[in-house]
Amino acid sequence: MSLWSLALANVWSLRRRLVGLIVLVSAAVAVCLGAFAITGQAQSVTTNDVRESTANRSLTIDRPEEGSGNPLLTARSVKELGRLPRVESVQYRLQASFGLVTADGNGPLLYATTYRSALPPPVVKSVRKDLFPLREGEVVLPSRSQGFDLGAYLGEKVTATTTRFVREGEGTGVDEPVTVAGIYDATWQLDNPDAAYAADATVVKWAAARSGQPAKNYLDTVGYDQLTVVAQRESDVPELLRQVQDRHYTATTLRQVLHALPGILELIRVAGQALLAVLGVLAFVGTVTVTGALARQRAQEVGVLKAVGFRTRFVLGLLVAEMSLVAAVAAVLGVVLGVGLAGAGAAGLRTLPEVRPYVEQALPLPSVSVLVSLAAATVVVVAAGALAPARRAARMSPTQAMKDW
Amino acid sequence: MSALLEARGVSKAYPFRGRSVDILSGVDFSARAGQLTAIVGHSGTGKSTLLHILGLLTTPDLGGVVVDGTDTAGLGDGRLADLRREKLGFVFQSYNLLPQHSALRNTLIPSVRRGKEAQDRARLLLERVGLGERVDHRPAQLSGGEQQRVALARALVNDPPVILADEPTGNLDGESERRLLALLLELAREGRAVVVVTHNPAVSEAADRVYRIADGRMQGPDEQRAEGPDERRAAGPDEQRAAGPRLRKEDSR
Repeated sequence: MSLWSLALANVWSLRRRLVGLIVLVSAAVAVCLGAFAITGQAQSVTTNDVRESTANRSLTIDRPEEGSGNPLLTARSVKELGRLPRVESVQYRLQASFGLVTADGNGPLLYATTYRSALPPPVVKSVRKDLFPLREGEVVLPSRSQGFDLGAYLGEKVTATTTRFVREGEGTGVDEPVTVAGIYDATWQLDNPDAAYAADATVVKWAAARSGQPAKNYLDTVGYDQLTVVAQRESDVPELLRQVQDRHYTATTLRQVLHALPGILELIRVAGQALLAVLGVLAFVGTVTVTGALARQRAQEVGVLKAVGFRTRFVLGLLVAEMSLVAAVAAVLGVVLGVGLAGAGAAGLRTLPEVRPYVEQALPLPSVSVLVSLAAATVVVVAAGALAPARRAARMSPTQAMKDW
Repeated sequence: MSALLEARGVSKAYPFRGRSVDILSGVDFSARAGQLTAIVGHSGTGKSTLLHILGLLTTPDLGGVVVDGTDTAGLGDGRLADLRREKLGFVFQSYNLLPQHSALRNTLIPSVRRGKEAQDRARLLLERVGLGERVDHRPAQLSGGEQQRVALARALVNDPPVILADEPTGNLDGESERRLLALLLELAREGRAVVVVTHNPAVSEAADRVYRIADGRMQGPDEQRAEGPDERRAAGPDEQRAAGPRLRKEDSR
C-alpha cells in the first residue's frame, strides 16, 4: 500500500484516539483565527479609510512668493487643474484676518477661512443640521482660541473687526456684525489654529478690503492663498504631483499616518499573537505526547510493518503523515470554528460604540493568505512535533517492537 | 533441488546477567524449494532466534544467511527490508494483524502492487484461504484460525519464494490446525520453501525435512519423504510459483 493511503486508513481507524489532539489543535487554530479575523478587518478598515481619505489623496499648492514667477492661484488655475486626468476636485482656500470682539470688548485675532468640502472641520455644535455652505454674515469658530472659550457664543451675534486698506502700510478698522453659526473642535488645525470659517463671499470681501483691491477682481488679480487638488485614488497622487509641478505650481502632498486601533482591538490583536505562540507550543507538545503514546501503543504494529518489509524511512514517513493528516483535519475544523468565533466576537464588539465602525461586516473573513498560512503553520507544527517520537518508534528493530511474536 | 534459504555457520549469543549466553552455535540450515521444512526443539533452544535470523530480522554474530541466491552479509537495513518484502513471507504465532484494519487491508499492507491489481490479488488470496466472505471483517471479528489464514494471505501477497512460520498452529484448535497445515503443504507443493518452527508433532510429521535443535546446535535434517512423489513438485519451483495463487476454494482444501 502507498504511504498516504495507509496513513489515511490509519487515521480513520484511530480517529477516536486522535480526537483529543484534533480538539486541541482546532481550538488553537480557531482562537488565533478569530482574533486575527477581527483585528485584521479592523486594521483593514482603518488602513483603507486613511489611505483613501481625502487628506491622503490631496496635493496642496500654496500662493507663490512675490517675484518667484510662479503662477498665481486664480479662478483660472482652479479650472486648469480641474481638467487634469485623475483629478476628483480642486478646492480653494482664502483667508483674511479679523478681530473678534466679544461682549466684554476683548477677543482673539482670527482668520476668516473659506470652507473646503474635501477637508471639512469637525463641527461639534451648530445652529442647524446642514451648516455648510455658510450664509453671508455667518462664522464657525474654534471651540477655544488664544485663551478664549468661544463655545459659549454659539448662535450669538458678535462683532468682527476687519481692516480696510487706506494706503501702503496704513489701514482702518471696520466693524461688522456676524452670527456664530457653529463651533468646531479646536484640535483640528489643518487651516491653522485660529481659522474661523465664513462664507466665500464674506472672506473675499474682507481680503479684498484689506488689500485695497475691488472684490469682484480679487480672485483674478491676487488669487487664493491655497489650492487643494484631490486625486481620484491615493495611488494617483505621485503622477498628479508631477503634472502639477510641471505647470510650475509649488505643490506638496499631505499624507496622514495610520491611526492606532482602538485599545480593545489592539488588545485582541496582541492577545491573538500571544495565543498563536502559546497555542503553537501547546499543539507541538500535544503532538509530541500523543504521537509518543500512540507509537508506544502501536509498537507491535511498527514491528509488523518492518517485519513485512517496510523500511525505517517509510515507517517514519507513515507516522508523520498520519499526524499531518490529523493537523490538516484540525486546521479545516479550526478555520470553520474560527470564522464562527470571529463572527460571534464581532457581533459582541459591535455593541461597543467605540469599536463598532471597525467591525461593521457581519462576518469578518480573514484573507486567503492568512488562512493558508495558518493551515500550513498548523501542519508544520504538528508534523514537527510528531517527528522525534516517530523517529524513535521507526528506529526500533522489528524483534524489539514485536516482543511477543 | 535448490536451496532457497540457507544459513551457514550461524552463531548468536545474548547477554544475560553480565555474561554471554550462546543461543546458537555454528548452525547450518537450508530450506529447499517445494518442501515443507520443520524446525523442532524444546522451548528456549533457539528455534525462534534462528527463525529471526533466517527472516533477516536479527543479524547473527557469526555466519551468514543466503536468501534466494543473495548473500545478506553486510547489507544495510533498507536492503534487508526490501528482501523481506520481496522474498520472505511471515506467519506469526500470534498472527500480528493490525487490529484497526479489515482482513483485506491487512492482506494488502505489504503489497508492492497498487490500485485494483493489488485489491484483486488480495481478494483472490483471501478466497484461497477460505475467507472470501470475510474480507471486510476486522481481526477481532475473526476466530484464531481465520486470523492465521489472513496472516498467511498477507505473507503471500508479494508472491515470495520463502514462507517462514513461527508456531503457526500454536493457538489453533484441531480443525483450524489441519486446515492451516494443508495450506502450508500446498504452498510448498507449489514450489515455495516453507519453513515452520513448531512443537506440534502433526506439523513435524507432515514436513518433508525436519531439523532438530538442542542446546543451540542443529541436528538433521531428517528426510521424511523421498523427493518428488508429488506431481506439482516435479514441475519445479519456478514454474509452479509463476502460476500464481490458485483460485478455486476446493483446490485449497
